[in-house]
Amino acid sequence: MLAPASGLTLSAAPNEGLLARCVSGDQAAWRDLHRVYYPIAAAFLRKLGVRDNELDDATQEVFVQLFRYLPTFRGDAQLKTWLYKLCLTQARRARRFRALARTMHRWFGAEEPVAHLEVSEGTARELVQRALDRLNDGERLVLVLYEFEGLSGEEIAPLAGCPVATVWRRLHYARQRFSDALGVGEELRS
Amino acid sequence: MIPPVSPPRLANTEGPVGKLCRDAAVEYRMGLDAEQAWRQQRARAGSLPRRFVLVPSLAFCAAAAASLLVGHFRDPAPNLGAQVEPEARSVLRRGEAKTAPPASPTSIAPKAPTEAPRKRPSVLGTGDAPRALAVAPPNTLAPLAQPLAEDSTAKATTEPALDCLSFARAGDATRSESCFEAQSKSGSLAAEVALYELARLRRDMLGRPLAALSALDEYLRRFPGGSLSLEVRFSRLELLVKMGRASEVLQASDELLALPSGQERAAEVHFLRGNVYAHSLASPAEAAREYALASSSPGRVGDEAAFLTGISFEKAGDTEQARAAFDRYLKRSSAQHLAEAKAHLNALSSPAAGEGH
Repeated sequence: MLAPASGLTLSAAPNEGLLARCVSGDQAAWRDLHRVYYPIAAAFLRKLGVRDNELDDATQEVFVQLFRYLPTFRGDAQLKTWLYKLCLTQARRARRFRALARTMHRWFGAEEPVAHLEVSEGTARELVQRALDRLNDGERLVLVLYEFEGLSGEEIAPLAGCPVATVWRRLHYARQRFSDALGVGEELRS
Repeated sequence: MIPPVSPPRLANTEGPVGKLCRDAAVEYRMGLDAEQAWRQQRARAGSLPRRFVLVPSLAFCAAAAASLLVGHFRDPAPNLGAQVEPEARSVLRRGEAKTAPPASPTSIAPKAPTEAPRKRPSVLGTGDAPRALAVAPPNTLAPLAQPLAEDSTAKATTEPALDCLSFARAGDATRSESCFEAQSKSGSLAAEVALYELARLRRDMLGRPLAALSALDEYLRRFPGGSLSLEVRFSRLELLVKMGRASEVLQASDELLALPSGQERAAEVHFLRGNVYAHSLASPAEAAREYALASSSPGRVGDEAAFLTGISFEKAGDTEQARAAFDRYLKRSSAQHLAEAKAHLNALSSPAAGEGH
């Protein structure tokens, strides 16, 4: 059976001292870890399409998983990459719950919930989010990880579950759709 | 033409798109209050996963709404007329409910959730957590658990679906079990969820795998085509593996793979079968065959399976197949055991290894 540790051999650990303190049960270290990684996780979840009203649940679940399995975390893995994996799982979960809620609403004839971003109309985030919503899941993941999270193709491949060449192909098409959605297709293609 | 190398990142480019991406990156982090999130996290830590709460809640709400609607359509109000007082009408309705015949197949009432499309709340155990629960150290959340216990006790509600969970969160797993058992007596989606959660509670909190198995068996007996049947079958398989019942694992996995829906988790099933052949039955050749079937999966399971294919062939003494398997493994972009695979391949390729076999 797969243990979490078996999948955590990605690259160098960022802060072994902090991790060791967390594993030893140091509450201050847990808090430091949360303070460092919470904005990364929450912002990444938003980019993956998690709505602001779902964000608390999703990030809390990510950190529950993180805290639960941290003692099995091997020193040769990069915590941030693992965090991305946990976020991916939660983003999928949020999407499924949304679909389930929509189904329930349809069954019982209620109005469907209105998805809202809770950001002002016309802000950069709102424009980007609308463009990202036009992409399929695979393309969206690759685009977000490459353009906004700054990961390399080699780092993205295991997260996307595909070869590096596929990462570049997806990125290529994702950028086309993204730029079309923004209405600046020609600028990016040039 | 798709560029073979990494293109410049949009945020590093000049022009409106670059500026938009830079601005958006900043805005995505706006409004995130780490301190408040930490307080919520402390209140949450140590609790059961959120799905333990949300899925039964949704199921309960669905069941409640369905029963209300069914009651509405059966209401003989038009015949009673306006003279009937609301109280009297409700008495009549109660009396009718006791004697009402079962709904006919042509009933205009909406379908109950049990007949819902297989829109399974697949969060139940499809992520990494359920598979890993057994290996998680029990005291991992100890530093954060104290506030939770106080919080969850205070939050105990009167809503049945939530009550079962609040008992468990407050540390009374036995009461939670009784509550789920009572819920499982109904015939709705709530019963399906209750049986599944009952099995997880018995397995993960009460440490009673046999009782957990019994709940899963009851689910499959009562709801063979239920919304959670695939998840239940897979959980049962995992449980049998943990209990070391190798022959039952093989039989149950054969049945699961024969189902059309079983293909969804075929790679994981073959991986489990590989583990059984490798560890319980000491049959590396069979293990290699199962791992090879699982290795086509692109994710972590596929990666592990591809590596273990080589290991199993090596143990079985099939040097050629082992070399080929390690060669294939090294070509995988997501290979996690590169150094180990190379070491095995070198050892197999050395003249001594060739003579040995």
